[in-house]
Amino acid sequence: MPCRKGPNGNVVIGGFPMKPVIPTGPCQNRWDQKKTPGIELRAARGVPDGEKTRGFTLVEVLVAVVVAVVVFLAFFSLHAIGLRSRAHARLVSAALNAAADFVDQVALSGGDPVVIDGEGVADSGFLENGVRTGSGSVFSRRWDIQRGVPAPHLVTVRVILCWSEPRKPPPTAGHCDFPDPTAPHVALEAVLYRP
Amino acid sequence: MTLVELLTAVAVTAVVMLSVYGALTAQQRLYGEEQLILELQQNMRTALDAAAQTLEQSGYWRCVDPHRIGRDGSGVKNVLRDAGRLFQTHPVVGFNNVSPDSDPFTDGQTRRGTDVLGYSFLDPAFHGPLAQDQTVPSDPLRLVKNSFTSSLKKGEIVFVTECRRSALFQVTGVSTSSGVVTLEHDPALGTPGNATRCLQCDNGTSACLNESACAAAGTGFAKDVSFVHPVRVGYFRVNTTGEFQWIEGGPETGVQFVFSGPRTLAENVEDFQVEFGLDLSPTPDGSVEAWVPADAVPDTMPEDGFPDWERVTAVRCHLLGRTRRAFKNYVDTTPYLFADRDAEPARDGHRRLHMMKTVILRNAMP
Repeated sequence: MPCRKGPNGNVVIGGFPMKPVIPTGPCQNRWDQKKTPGIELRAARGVPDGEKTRGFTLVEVLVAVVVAVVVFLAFFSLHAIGLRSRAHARLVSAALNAAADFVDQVALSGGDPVVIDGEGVADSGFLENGVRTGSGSVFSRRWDIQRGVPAPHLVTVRVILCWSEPRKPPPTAGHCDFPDPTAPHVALEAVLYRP
Repeated sequence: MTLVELLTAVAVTAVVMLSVYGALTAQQRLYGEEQLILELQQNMRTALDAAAQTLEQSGYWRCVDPHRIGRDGSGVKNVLRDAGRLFQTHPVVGFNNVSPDSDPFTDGQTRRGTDVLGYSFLDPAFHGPLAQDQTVPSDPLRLVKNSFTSSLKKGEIVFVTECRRSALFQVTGVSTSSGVVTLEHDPALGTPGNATRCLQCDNGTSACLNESACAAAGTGFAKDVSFVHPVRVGYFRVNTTGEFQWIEGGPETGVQFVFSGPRTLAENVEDFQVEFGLDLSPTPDGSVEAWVPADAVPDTMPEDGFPDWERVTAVRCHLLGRTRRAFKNYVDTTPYLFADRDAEPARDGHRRLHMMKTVILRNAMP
């Protein structure tokens, strides 16, 4: 950036006239100014020439603005996080309700295959976006029914319900699977007695 | 600092403070809304849990096989089933999307378009041993006095069983003396559910026996192996003001068996729908093959006038509730569809929550 003298003899940097507080000798470039202790550039706009005033340096202003922006971004991102958490919690609640209903229906199925919502299903499977609640929420369901586990006359039921959320993996078969689903999900495991 | 600088600083600060204030206000509003939703969720969950605890006992009639009752018209439970009132002896009964014509309650307070769910069972916690061998029904029933038997009232409908045979009757008088509680009954009185019309015994294999057969030698109720249980009958419904109510049957001051004193389990409920899980196997195995509304429960014996409630092995209860106040800048356009409900979106400012619970009627299983 060029360094030159303004009409009033002030130092002009980047088109803005700046007044050197401590007069120095020959005009110095910014690199020289940075290396020269005691040099301050003060805003001179609207200030009578030669009048000594106190103010903020450009660096101070920029730092203050950056800090304020960071604080505000953090504040409003917290707000956004709160909103997303709200929607997430509501889906968790609905999914948990649907998962518990699945376990209840398995408990009600006496024979083979297991009957869910009036239709026979295999002991293990995945249903993509096929579970719809009364509130209109849509879930994918992964389930696994192990007969005789962990002991005879016992049935272990595992079910995962996954759903779609922004910036999260979709509830597809690959992202909604045992043992560690990556899509937003709730998982439920129950052991049922089946004499 | 110049005036311009001061004004600029004030303006910038005002903008900043306004935006912060707006954000804080929004957060506060969201917090308040979440509190309302949380309250709604807790109320509905508690209500469903309370209903489930009772419904899980449905169909408990001690030694009586509920599946046999109602299939061929036999069984002592059929004695009062045609009471023409709300008293019934089925594990569960339902009324689908009630209208003024199908509302089982005469108070007209049932919310139109919602379901009503009823249940019946013997009070399993009741301890009512006989004080002596009995030849019911010809004799008054004498029970050992304890905290349970002392609480029996005139008008209560009780069940006495020693498993090989059972009897169902309504108490027309109670007296207590020297450690014995005596229950009187009167087979000659008229309407079942109001007073005992018929006192019959069921030996578990044949059609309902008549009084003389029950009183014959060797067919009475032996002390130490016979027990008395009061019959618990009740209903769940939503009333016109949005209360999810639990209405229990019981005696009034006379011998009348009445349904009164509803208890509110949850408020701000808009709909209650019930699906009945049917065991359609030729030989009942307890599994559910189909979920149907109350008016689709099959009726294999139309002549008895009742659907096959004994085929129901589970009920799935749906509740739709709304927050107690409307939210600002919110319009609910969600079509809440469950069971056989066919409702339009409410398009108001209330947040709504649908919750369901499947209750297994374990006692109804073979």
